[in-house]
Amino acid sequence: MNPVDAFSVGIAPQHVPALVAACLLPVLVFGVRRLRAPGAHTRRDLGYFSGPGAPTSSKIAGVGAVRLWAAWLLGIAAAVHLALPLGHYDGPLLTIAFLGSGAAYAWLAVRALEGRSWRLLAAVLLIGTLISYLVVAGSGGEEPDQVGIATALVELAALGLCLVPGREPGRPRRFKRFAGSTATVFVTFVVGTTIWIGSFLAHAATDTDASAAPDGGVGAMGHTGDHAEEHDHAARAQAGVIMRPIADHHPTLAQQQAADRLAAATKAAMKNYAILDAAIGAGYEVPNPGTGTDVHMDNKKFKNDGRVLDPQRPETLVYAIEGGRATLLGVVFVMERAGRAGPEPGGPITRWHAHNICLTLLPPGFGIVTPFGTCPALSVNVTSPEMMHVWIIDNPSGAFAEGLDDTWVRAYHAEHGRPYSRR
Amino acid sequence: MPVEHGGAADVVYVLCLMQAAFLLLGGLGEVLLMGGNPAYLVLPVAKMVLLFVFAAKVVSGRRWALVALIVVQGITLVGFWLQFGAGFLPWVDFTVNLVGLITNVAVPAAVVYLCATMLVPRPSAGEQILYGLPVPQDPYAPAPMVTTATVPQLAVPFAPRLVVPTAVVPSAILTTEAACESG
Repeated sequence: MNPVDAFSVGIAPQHVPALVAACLLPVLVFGVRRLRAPGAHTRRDLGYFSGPGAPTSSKIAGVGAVRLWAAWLLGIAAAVHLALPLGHYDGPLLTIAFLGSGAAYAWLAVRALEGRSWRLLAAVLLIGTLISYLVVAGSGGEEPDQVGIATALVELAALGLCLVPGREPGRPRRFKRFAGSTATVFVTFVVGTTIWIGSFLAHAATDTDASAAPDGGVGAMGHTGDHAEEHDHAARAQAGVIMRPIADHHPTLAQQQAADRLAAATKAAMKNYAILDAAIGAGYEVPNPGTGTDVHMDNKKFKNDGRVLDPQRPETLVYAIEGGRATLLGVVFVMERAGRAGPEPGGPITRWHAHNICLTLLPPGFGIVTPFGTCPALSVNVTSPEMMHVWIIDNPSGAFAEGLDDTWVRAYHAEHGRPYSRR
Repeated sequence: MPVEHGGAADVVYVLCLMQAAFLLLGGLGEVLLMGGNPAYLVLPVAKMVLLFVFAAKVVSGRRWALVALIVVQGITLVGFWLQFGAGFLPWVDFTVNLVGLITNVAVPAAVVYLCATMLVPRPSAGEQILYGLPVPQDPYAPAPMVTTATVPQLAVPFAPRLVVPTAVVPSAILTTEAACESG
């Protein structure tokens, strides 16, 4: 995926006007300042270097860095909220709410800039907005996209400036600063966690939609063809999963037949590996820990054999291994080179995905990149080569679903698990 | 180093708090993925504490904390570009997105900029004259010499202020006025 595609893949189309508005805000501010009286406010006027040398004639002279930053952050939030209805029309009530909060943010930004009280009102508005966003995102109502998360970040920074009182000579205000600091970290953590959960819920919803076909045929293949919007959600780069956007969400008959053929060929070929020992004998390696409901076993030889989407030589097998028994659930086809797009014989049905992960060295391990795009300390953020699951069992989510329901897998494994001897 | 109330140090402090929260989130995410092993929390928590201490010391006006924060944020910035470079390797890719740019580039760059602004001493009055900047005025400095004096006003509302040359003002009046101002 080229960098431009990768950058835009996480931005919901309906949020593009809000992003543009936020980017245009500095231009607007610059224009307004130019239109005002000559010799009016410069950066020095805005108090960035406020001190004895700063001019004191203007109304906003002497504004500290906190107020200046707060004004910018609230201004960005205002621009985003005012522009949201342009691409995000969800009824008059929500439109009024967006416009109202946008106007309130703009008003508070001006108050902060002019040196008037702003903290309390801004804190109330910011907390209200964040809670509203989290309720929508956490309930799966809307998948958090890059613009939504970036706006939440801006609001969190502004909230931090509201909550942490400035230190003054002779007034350390230790308790207030401690409480404000703790609240800032806590709120940021909670917002991040909720966005994370919302992202996973949205992905799970995609799978559920895909499996909700009225007839067993197409639904079993993981695509109903009736949920273009839901599948659009899957194209967004949150929750550590990156999927290329697709032009048409509705597969053609030929694509459906090609996907059916691929699933059938894979299922037939994998009969050889129904017993875990056979897979180990073929070069698949059991990872550590080697138990669970989605144990991924890689075959290094097949990963570098130059063959793509070969049902006879899948790069990874997925087993449920518990209680001394193993059940082959499916395979993962993996591209040899990262950043290279995999072939999609089934069109929108056979979609590839990549994982955005954090690799840590101390101790060795990996995690998922947070919704804020960060990794733990001393870790490296990498995106894996594209991969595609093909499930060989008749799971409710279809053959090409991103994942399986854990409870369903346990029940299936209890019924179909086969004993193995080697580890 | 004097710290200005509501100044750049407080902004740096809040940005560092947010970075600490990001670290905590990333660390806990990794712990969950690695089977609940708390060893994966050691480094994130250590960096969190480090960030918090540096940020608090910046607010207290310690120059070394400014330097330390610049170094830490510089490492973060360099790390981002190293990852970007690593993305050109065949085995891995690197995804650049809006939020990642904000948290991994914009925020560290802002902290570095703010710390550098506080670290660089403000220009002296002589330098300000040299570079055409306004000269700071000491509000408690003696008033400059004047060639005119203001005659003390009578208690008449809206009476115009009368300015007369010093030469014509009797010295007794000037002395009285000076006594009033000092007293």
